[in-house]
Amino acid sequence: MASEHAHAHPHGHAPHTHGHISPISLYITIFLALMVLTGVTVGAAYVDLGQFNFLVAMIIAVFKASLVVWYFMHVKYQSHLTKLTVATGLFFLAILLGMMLIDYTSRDFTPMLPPTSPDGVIGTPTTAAPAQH
Amino acid sequence: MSNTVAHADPHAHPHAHAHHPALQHHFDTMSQQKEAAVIGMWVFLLTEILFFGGLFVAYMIYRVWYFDAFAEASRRLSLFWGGLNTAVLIGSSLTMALAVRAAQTNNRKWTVNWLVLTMLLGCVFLGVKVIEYEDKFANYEVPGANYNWVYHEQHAAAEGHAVEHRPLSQTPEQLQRTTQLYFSLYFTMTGLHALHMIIGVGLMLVITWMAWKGKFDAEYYTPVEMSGLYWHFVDIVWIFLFPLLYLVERHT
Amino acid sequence: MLDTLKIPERHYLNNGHGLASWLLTKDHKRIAIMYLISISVMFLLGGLFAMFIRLELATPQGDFVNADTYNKFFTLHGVIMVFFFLIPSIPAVLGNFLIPPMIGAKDLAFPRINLLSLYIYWLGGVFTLAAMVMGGVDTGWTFYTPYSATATNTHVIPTALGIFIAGFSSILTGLNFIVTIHRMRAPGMTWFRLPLFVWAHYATSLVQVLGTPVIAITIVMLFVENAFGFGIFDPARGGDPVLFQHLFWFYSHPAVYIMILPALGVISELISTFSKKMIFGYSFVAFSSLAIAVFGFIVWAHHMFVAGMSTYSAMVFSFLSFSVAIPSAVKVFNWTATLYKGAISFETPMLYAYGFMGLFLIGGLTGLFLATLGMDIHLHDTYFVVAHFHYIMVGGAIMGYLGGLHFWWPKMTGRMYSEFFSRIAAILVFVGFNLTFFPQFVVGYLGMPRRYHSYPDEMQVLNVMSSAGASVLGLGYALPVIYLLYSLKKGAVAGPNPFAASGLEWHTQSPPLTENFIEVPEVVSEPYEYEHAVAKESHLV
Repeated sequence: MASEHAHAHPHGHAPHTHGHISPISLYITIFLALMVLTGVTVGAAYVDLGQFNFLVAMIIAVFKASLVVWYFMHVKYQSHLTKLTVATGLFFLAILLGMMLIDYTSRDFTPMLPPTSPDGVIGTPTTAAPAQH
Repeated sequence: MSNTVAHADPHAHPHAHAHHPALQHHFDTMSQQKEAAVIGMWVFLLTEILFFGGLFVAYMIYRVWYFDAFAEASRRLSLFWGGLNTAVLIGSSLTMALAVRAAQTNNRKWTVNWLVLTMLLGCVFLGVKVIEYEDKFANYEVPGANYNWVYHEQHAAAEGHAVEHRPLSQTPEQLQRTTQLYFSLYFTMTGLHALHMIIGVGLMLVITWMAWKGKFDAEYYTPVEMSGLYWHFVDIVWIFLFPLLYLVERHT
Repeated sequence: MLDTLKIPERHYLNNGHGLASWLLTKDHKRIAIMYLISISVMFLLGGLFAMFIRLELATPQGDFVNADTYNKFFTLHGVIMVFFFLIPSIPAVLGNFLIPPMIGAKDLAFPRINLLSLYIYWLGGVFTLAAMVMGGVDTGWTFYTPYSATATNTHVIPTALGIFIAGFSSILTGLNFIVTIHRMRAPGMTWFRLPLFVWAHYATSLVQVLGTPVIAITIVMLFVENAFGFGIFDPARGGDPVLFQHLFWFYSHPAVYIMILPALGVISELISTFSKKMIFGYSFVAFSSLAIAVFGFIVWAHHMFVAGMSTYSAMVFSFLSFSVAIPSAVKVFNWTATLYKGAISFETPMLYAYGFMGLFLIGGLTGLFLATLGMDIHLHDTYFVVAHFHYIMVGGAIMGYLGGLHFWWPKMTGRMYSEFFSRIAAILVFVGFNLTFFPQFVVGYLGMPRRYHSYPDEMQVLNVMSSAGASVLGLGYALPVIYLLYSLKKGAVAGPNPFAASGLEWHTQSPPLTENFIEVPEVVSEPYEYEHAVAKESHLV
């Protein structure tokens, strides 16, 4: 970071003035890929993959989103700072979801209670309550 | 005293040579101005990620808790309209990308054309959304006091359609309550997405007018690029909303 | 020395006259001044509600107002102070004014967005104040569901909308700072030559940008529940009110760092300037700001230990909460090390810095008590919590704000305030603050719950102490208003650098030009270089 150029360099370091111009064929290719992937998502939803239906749908969605970010939004040609910004957003979204799931996945754990009598009978035995919220 | 500062202006006569008319006074070069705008826009999109992120988190938790309710309620959405809208939106992303490209290559006519086409596709999307919402209102599927989970089936039966029954772990009374969570999220998510689209179309009206007036050239087309980034982001949100809302469980 | 100083002929304050020249300005310094006036009004209003609270609690019976009115008082006190005073306080006033000159820029990267953020702040304020006039809101500043969604009949919607709108002002300020610090630095101003004030604001901006959207969406969900009868958090339909708390605190805990981080930055500047020494461990202080910002996002559920979340995750969050203490302690230790063998002086800003260090220490350490899971079960929702967060928010953030305001006031206005009265005020604030809030630790530990308008007779002595302290504190806050305003007309001319400080902002005239510098400065030395400092140029005898 320290090596990053500060402003007022009149002639040095002007890489993005004109931006990167992608060929039209690339845009058409990405568009077609997105359409095909949409079809694949719908198709996959009609196949019983058990738990994996959701996973497949999400992987395809992430892939589609990456195509848009990388090519349509030109992140491929942007500075590291831009890439870092995108990564930061996803990282903090992961913190939000992940830290919250610590709570939601452990709510139904059986509490570990200390023995209340010498013969090892556990204090009020709580069975893991099924999600009857 | 302290902290020596040399007053060495790299270009002591800032107005001695011609500046681009769009260069604001507090920037030194067009490239500095543009980089600032790009980073600023991405930081804004970062806030948008977390804005929609809160809804996605709520969706995830309730989907795990009430999977059957989510799967049942999701089947009430029309895959035709949803799929069509996905295609429309992806198409509008393409036209937007091409509009930015036209601006980059100094092609005023096609910048305007692609922008207008993008707006049209955006309006098609919103029109379809209106049709979908209307259907939900007609079937009492909007959460609140008038919500009626069984109306849809009763109505279908009254019309003489065959009503299929899947084995469910929840009673209709439970579904009456928990499917409202799904539709609450459905309306909030798609509603906010639609709101973003309306703002996007509004932005593009201004940008198109500016492009028409010839305010942009190969060196300065930042507004076109920024609204492009925004539009693509709205597209990405839909890329996630579509499988999450329309395709919860379609195979049984 | 004094007689030779004159207010410069041309500066940002006289560059354009009339209301329009202010309301349509793009100058970050004028926007900062308008923010200063706006938040001062809000501070007065929030303080008024605090006064009503302390008045009610002077006697054990609820005899001044009834319980419902009391609920509205503390809610409005919290909402106004948190969202309309503390969060914009240092960033929008001092940060706005100082970041461009500190890094050698003419303005922030997006001057129009800066002005927009002020208008958005005003619009948010209008909504919230309208709610107040219509009859207020009684949910507490936390708006916990389901009470806020279904049970209360007070004005949740306009208040929440006001906060939603004001949030965008905060986001835009943070966004502007991030881009400015990345892209607008003067030649030679490398990252490790930035003043620690700027580092602190960079960290603050990250929190503003990452956290605020989550409170925005939470308010949207609360709004659709209130306005349209949706049921995202409605337990009657299977929703989870604890989810609201998760989302709420994902922002509102880091929001504490929006308030305290800029104050930490101010204190770093003050300690270095008034001990005439390079700050000890510059990079540690700089990175501890970033560490606080990041750690702040992984500790939020310590507000919810008794809310029905899982015990196991409570353990995780309890452990993680301790981690925030590390970077905070790094700062306090480094300040102390900076003072060691420094040429220390006791001007008013430094008095605030000393006060800050003590109060922040107490606030931080009692935070560790509360982060301890078992302890929190006992202390949750008692006055111990109230005392703790006031030590951070008032003892920390407001002391930092006042210290910074006194430090840069001569830069902002070109004139000095009365050193005598300002020292009196600083001492009054410190004494009044401790008298107000230290007894609250004790009543809290004895079990007095927060948010009640009556309490057992045994607790009256401590509560009366607290109310008496609040009066002293009020006096301490009123005094600066008088002598600062007086200084505008009659204050001695300050000159460009009355405190012999080293930052770039002191290398331009006071008050600065609209474009801050005559020519773009080039930085050729390290920050906080005081080795060659000449004898202190104080205007005081």
